Amino acid sequence: MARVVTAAIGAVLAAALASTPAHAVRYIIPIRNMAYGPAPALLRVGDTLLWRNEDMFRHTVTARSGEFDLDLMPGKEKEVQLGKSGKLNIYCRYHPTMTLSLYVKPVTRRTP
Amino acid sequence: MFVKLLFALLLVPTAAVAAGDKPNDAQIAHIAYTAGNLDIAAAKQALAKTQDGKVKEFAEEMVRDHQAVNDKALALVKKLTVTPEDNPTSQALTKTADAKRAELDKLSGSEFDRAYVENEVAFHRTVNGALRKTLIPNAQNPELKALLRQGLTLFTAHQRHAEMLAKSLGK
Repeated sequence: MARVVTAAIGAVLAAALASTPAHAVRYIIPIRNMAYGPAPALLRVGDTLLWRNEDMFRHTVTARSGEFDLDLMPGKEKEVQLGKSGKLNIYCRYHPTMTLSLYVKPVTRRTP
Repeated sequence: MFVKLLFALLLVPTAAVAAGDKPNDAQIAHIAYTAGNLDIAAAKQALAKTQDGKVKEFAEEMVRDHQAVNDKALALVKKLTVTPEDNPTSQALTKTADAKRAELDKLSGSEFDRAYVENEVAFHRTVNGALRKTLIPNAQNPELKALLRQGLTLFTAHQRHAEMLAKSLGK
Protein backbone atom coordinates (compact mmCIF):
# COMPACT_ATOMS: atom_id res chain seq x y z
CA MET A 1 0.00 0.00 0.00
CA ALA A 2 2.80 2.36 1.03
CA ARG A 3 4.60 1.53 -2.19
CA VAL A 4 1.52 2.41 -4.25
CA VAL A 5 1.24 5.80 -2.50
CA THR A 6 4.95 6.49 -3.00
CA ALA A 7 4.65 5.60 -6.66
CA ALA A 8 1.62 7.89 -7.01
CA ILE A 9 3.49 10.79 -5.35
CA GLY A 10 6.45 10.09 -7.60
CA ALA A 11 4.23 10.27 -10.67
CA VAL A 12 2.74 13.58 -9.53
CA LEU A 13 6.21 15.00 -8.85
CA ALA A 14 7.46 13.84 -12.23
CA ALA A 15 4.51 15.50 -13.93
CA ALA A 16 5.12 18.72 -12.01
CA LEU A 17 8.79 18.75 -12.92
CA ALA A 18 8.05 18.13 -16.57
CA SER A 19 5.93 21.27 -16.72
CA THR A 20 8.31 23.46 -14.72
CA PRO A 21 10.35 25.90 -16.80
CA ALA A 22 14.09 25.41 -16.79
CA HIS A 23 14.69 28.87 -15.36
CA ALA A 24 11.50 30.39 -14.02
CA VAL A 25 12.21 34.01 -13.15
CA ARG A 26 10.53 36.39 -10.72
CA TYR A 27 10.19 39.97 -11.93
CA ILE A 28 9.16 43.02 -9.94
CA ILE A 29 7.00 45.54 -11.79
CA PRO A 30 6.43 48.81 -9.92
CA ILE A 31 3.30 50.88 -10.41
CA ARG A 32 4.03 54.56 -9.91
CA ASN A 33 2.86 57.92 -11.25
CA MET A 34 -0.24 56.37 -12.76
CA ALA A 35 1.73 53.94 -14.93
CA TYR A 36 2.93 50.35 -14.88
CA GLY A 37 6.69 49.91 -14.79
CA PRO A 38 8.43 48.70 -17.93
CA ALA A 39 7.48 45.21 -19.08
CA PRO A 40 10.30 42.65 -18.90
CA ALA A 41 11.66 41.99 -22.39
CA LEU A 42 11.55 38.21 -22.18
CA LEU A 43 8.78 36.46 -20.30
CA ARG A 44 8.10 32.76 -20.27
CA VAL A 45 5.27 30.61 -18.99
CA GLY A 46 6.03 29.81 -15.35
CA ASP A 47 7.68 33.17 -14.64
CA THR A 48 6.29 35.15 -11.75
CA LEU A 49 5.41 38.84 -11.74
CA LEU A 50 5.34 40.74 -8.48
CA TRP A 51 3.30 43.94 -8.89
CA ARG A 52 4.13 46.62 -6.36
CA ASN A 53 1.82 49.62 -6.01
CA GLU A 54 4.05 52.58 -5.10
CA ASP A 55 1.34 55.15 -5.88
CA MET A 56 -0.90 56.83 -3.34
CA PHE A 57 -3.88 55.52 -5.32
CA ARG A 58 -5.60 52.16 -5.47
CA HIS A 59 -4.92 50.31 -8.72
CA THR A 60 -5.71 46.96 -10.29
CA VAL A 61 -3.62 44.76 -12.55
CA THR A 62 -6.29 43.21 -14.72
CA ALA A 63 -5.81 40.95 -17.73
CA ARG A 64 -8.41 41.62 -20.43
CA SER A 65 -8.43 37.86 -21.10
CA GLY A 66 -9.72 37.32 -17.55
CA GLU A 67 -6.61 35.35 -16.61
CA PHE A 68 -6.03 37.42 -13.45
CA ASP A 69 -7.31 40.49 -11.67
CA LEU A 70 -5.22 41.85 -8.79
CA ASP A 71 -6.60 44.66 -6.64
CA LEU A 72 -3.81 46.65 -5.02
CA MET A 73 -4.23 49.19 -2.26
CA PRO A 74 -1.51 51.87 -2.04
CA GLY A 75 1.78 50.41 -0.83
CA LYS A 76 0.69 46.79 -1.38
CA GLU A 77 2.08 44.13 -3.68
CA LYS A 78 0.73 40.91 -5.20
CA GLU A 79 2.18 38.15 -7.29
CA VAL A 80 0.91 36.23 -10.27
CA GLN A 81 2.39 33.30 -12.19
CA LEU A 82 2.14 33.36 -15.95
CA GLY A 83 0.08 30.37 -16.98
CA LYS A 84 0.00 30.54 -20.77
CA SER A 85 1.89 31.94 -23.70
CA GLY A 86 0.78 34.78 -25.95
CA LYS A 87 0.06 38.46 -25.62
CA LEU A 88 -1.42 39.71 -22.36
CA ASN A 89 -3.20 43.05 -22.34
CA ILE A 90 -3.15 44.55 -18.86
CA TYR A 91 -5.19 47.53 -17.64
CA CYS A 92 -6.31 49.19 -14.43
CA ARG A 93 -10.04 48.86 -13.82
CA TYR A 94 -10.03 52.12 -11.86
CA HIS A 95 -7.92 54.06 -14.37
CA PRO A 96 -8.63 52.58 -17.81
CA THR A 97 -6.04 54.81 -19.45
CA MET A 98 -3.33 52.80 -17.64
CA THR A 99 -2.34 49.89 -19.89
CA LEU A 100 0.57 47.52 -20.47
CA SER A 101 1.17 44.74 -23.01
CA LEU A 102 3.13 41.64 -22.03
CA TYR A 103 4.43 39.01 -24.42
CA VAL A 104 4.80 35.55 -22.90
CA LYS A 105 6.78 32.87 -24.69
CA PRO A 106 6.15 29.14 -24.28
CA VAL A 107 8.04 27.30 -21.58
CA THR A 108 11.51 25.96 -22.34
CA ARG A 109 11.70 22.28 -21.37
CA ARG A 110 14.53 20.90 -19.31
CA THR A 111 17.05 19.17 -21.51
CA PRO A 112 17.95 15.66 -20.31
CA MET B 1 -19.03 79.52 -19.91
CA PHE B 2 -17.77 77.45 -16.98
CA VAL B 3 -14.45 76.77 -18.66
CA LYS B 4 -14.03 80.37 -19.71
CA LEU B 5 -14.71 81.64 -16.21
CA LEU B 6 -12.38 79.16 -14.56
CA PHE B 7 -9.62 79.96 -16.99
CA ALA B 8 -10.07 83.60 -16.18
CA LEU B 9 -9.93 82.79 -12.48
CA LEU B 10 -7.10 80.34 -12.42
CA LEU B 11 -4.82 81.40 -15.20
CA VAL B 12 -4.79 85.05 -14.31
CA PRO B 13 -3.72 84.80 -10.70
CA THR B 14 -2.76 88.46 -10.54
CA ALA B 15 -6.42 89.31 -10.80
CA ALA B 16 -7.71 86.69 -8.42
CA VAL B 17 -5.07 86.00 -5.82
CA ALA B 18 -3.71 88.28 -3.15
CA ALA B 19 -4.21 91.54 -4.96
CA GLY B 20 -1.65 91.21 -7.71
CA ASP B 21 0.85 88.95 -5.93
CA LYS B 22 1.72 85.48 -7.03
CA PRO B 23 -0.03 82.88 -4.89
CA ASN B 24 1.95 81.77 -1.84
CA ASP B 25 2.20 78.17 -0.63
CA ALA B 26 -0.64 78.58 1.87
CA GLN B 27 -2.93 79.83 -0.91
CA ILE B 28 -1.72 77.23 -3.41
CA ALA B 29 -2.45 74.46 -0.90
CA HIS B 30 -5.92 75.93 -0.33
CA ILE B 31 -6.69 76.16 -4.06
CA ALA B 32 -5.54 72.57 -4.74
CA TYR B 33 -7.45 71.20 -1.74
CA THR B 34 -10.58 73.14 -2.71
CA ALA B 35 -10.46 71.88 -6.30
CA GLY B 36 -10.19 68.30 -5.00
CA ASN B 37 -13.10 68.74 -2.62
CA LEU B 38 -15.28 70.27 -5.32
CA ASP B 39 -14.64 67.33 -7.60
CA ILE B 40 -15.54 64.94 -4.77
CA ALA B 41 -18.81 66.85 -4.25
CA ALA B 42 -19.57 66.62 -7.98
CA ALA B 43 -18.84 62.88 -7.91
CA LYS B 44 -21.11 62.32 -4.91
CA GLN B 45 -23.91 64.08 -6.76
CA ALA B 46 -23.29 61.80 -9.75
CA LEU B 47 -23.31 58.70 -7.53
CA ALA B 48 -26.71 59.73 -6.18
CA LYS B 49 -28.20 60.44 -9.61
CA THR B 50 -26.67 58.21 -12.29
CA GLN B 51 -27.93 54.81 -13.41
CA ASP B 52 -25.01 54.26 -15.77
CA GLY B 53 -22.40 51.73 -14.63
CA LYS B 54 -19.49 53.46 -16.38
CA VAL B 55 -20.40 56.88 -15.02
CA LYS B 56 -20.73 55.36 -11.54
CA GLU B 57 -17.27 53.76 -11.81
CA PHE B 58 -15.80 57.06 -12.95
CA ALA B 59 -17.41 58.97 -10.07
CA GLU B 60 -16.16 56.37 -7.57
CA GLU B 61 -12.66 56.83 -9.02
CA MET B 62 -12.92 60.60 -8.52
CA VAL B 63 -13.96 60.25 -4.87
CA ARG B 64 -11.24 57.68 -4.12
CA ASP B 65 -8.35 59.44 -5.88
CA HIS B 66 -9.11 63.03 -4.92
CA GLN B 67 -9.62 61.93 -1.33
CA ALA B 68 -6.20 60.24 -1.41
CA VAL B 69 -4.51 63.41 -2.70
CA ASN B 70 -6.34 65.62 -0.22
CA ASP B 71 -5.41 63.33 2.67
CA LYS B 72 -1.74 63.66 1.62
CA ALA B 73 -2.12 67.41 1.27
CA LEU B 74 -3.60 67.71 4.76
CA ALA B 75 -0.80 65.61 6.22
CA LEU B 76 1.76 67.76 4.40
CA VAL B 77 0.42 71.15 5.54
CA LYS B 78 0.28 69.79 9.08
CA LYS B 79 3.89 68.65 8.85
CA LEU B 80 4.99 71.98 7.39
CA THR B 81 2.83 73.85 9.91
CA VAL B 82 1.27 75.78 7.06
CA THR B 83 -2.31 76.91 7.46
CA PRO B 84 -4.09 76.84 4.08
CA GLU B 85 -5.20 80.37 3.32
CA ASP B 86 -8.56 81.12 1.78
CA ASN B 87 -8.30 83.37 -1.24
CA PRO B 88 -10.42 84.79 -4.07
CA THR B 89 -9.49 81.94 -6.45
CA SER B 90 -10.72 79.27 -4.01
CA GLN B 91 -13.87 81.29 -3.36
CA ALA B 92 -14.60 81.77 -7.05
CA LEU B 93 -13.95 78.08 -7.75
CA THR B 94 -16.42 77.13 -5.03
CA LYS B 95 -19.05 79.57 -6.21
CA THR B 96 -18.81 78.37 -9.81
CA ALA B 97 -18.86 74.69 -8.87
CA ASP B 98 -21.84 75.19 -6.53
CA ALA B 99 -23.74 76.86 -9.37
CA LYS B 100 -22.85 73.99 -11.71
CA ARG B 101 -24.04 71.40 -9.20
CA ALA B 102 -27.35 73.23 -8.86
CA GLU B 103 -27.67 73.29 -12.66
CA LEU B 104 -26.87 69.56 -12.94
CA ASP B 105 -29.33 68.76 -10.18
CA LYS B 106 -32.19 69.70 -12.51
CA LEU B 107 -31.10 67.09 -15.06
CA SER B 108 -31.63 63.34 -14.99
CA GLY B 109 -30.85 60.16 -16.90
CA SER B 110 -28.52 60.33 -19.87
CA GLU B 111 -28.85 64.11 -19.98
CA PHE B 112 -27.33 64.33 -16.51
CA ASP B 113 -24.62 61.77 -17.34
CA ARG B 114 -23.44 63.67 -20.40
CA ALA B 115 -23.49 67.05 -18.63
CA TYR B 116 -21.60 65.67 -15.62
CA VAL B 117 -18.92 64.00 -17.71
CA GLU B 118 -18.51 66.99 -20.02
CA ASN B 119 -18.07 69.19 -16.99
CA GLU B 120 -15.49 66.76 -15.60
CA VAL B 121 -13.50 67.08 -18.83
CA ALA B 122 -13.64 70.87 -18.57
CA PHE B 123 -12.90 70.96 -14.84
CA HIS B 124 -9.84 68.72 -15.08
CA ARG B 125 -8.56 70.53 -18.14
CA THR B 126 -8.81 73.84 -16.31
CA VAL B 127 -7.28 72.62 -13.06
CA ASN B 128 -4.46 70.93 -14.99
CA GLY B 129 -3.76 74.17 -16.84
CA ALA B 130 -3.66 76.05 -13.55
CA LEU B 131 -1.37 73.45 -11.96
CA ARG B 132 1.00 73.54 -14.91
CA LYS B 133 1.11 77.28 -15.43
CA THR B 134 0.49 78.81 -12.03
CA LEU B 135 0.41 76.54 -9.00
CA ILE B 136 3.45 74.28 -9.62
CA PRO B 137 5.77 77.08 -10.85
CA ASN B 138 4.90 79.30 -7.88
CA ALA B 139 5.07 76.62 -5.15
CA GLN B 140 8.15 77.26 -3.02
CA ASN B 141 8.23 74.22 -0.78
CA PRO B 142 9.73 71.21 -2.65
CA GLU B 143 7.36 68.72 -0.98
CA LEU B 144 4.32 70.77 -1.93
CA LYS B 145 5.68 71.12 -5.47
CA ALA B 146 6.19 67.34 -5.66
CA LEU B 147 2.65 66.64 -4.42
CA LEU B 148 1.20 69.07 -6.96
CA ARG B 149 3.18 67.30 -9.70
CA GLN B 150 1.76 63.94 -8.58
CA GLY B 151 -1.66 65.57 -8.61
CA LEU B 152 -1.12 66.77 -12.16
CA THR B 153 -0.18 63.24 -13.31
CA LEU B 154 -3.35 61.88 -11.70
CA PHE B 155 -5.66 64.62 -12.98
CA THR B 156 -4.27 64.22 -16.49
CA ALA B 157 -5.28 60.54 -16.36
CA HIS B 158 -8.71 61.61 -15.03
CA GLN B 159 -9.09 64.08 -17.89
CA ARG B 160 -8.29 61.37 -20.44
CA HIS B 161 -10.71 58.97 -18.75
CA ALA B 162 -13.43 61.65 -18.76
CA GLU B 163 -12.77 62.34 -22.46
CA MET B 164 -13.02 58.62 -23.24
CA LEU B 165 -16.26 58.40 -21.30
CA ALA B 166 -17.72 61.52 -22.93
CA LYS B 167 -17.02 60.01 -26.32
CA SER B 168 -18.72 56.73 -25.40
CA LEU B 169 -21.80 58.54 -24.06
CA GLY B 170 -22.13 60.45 -27.33
CA LYS B 171 -24.06 63.61 -27.92
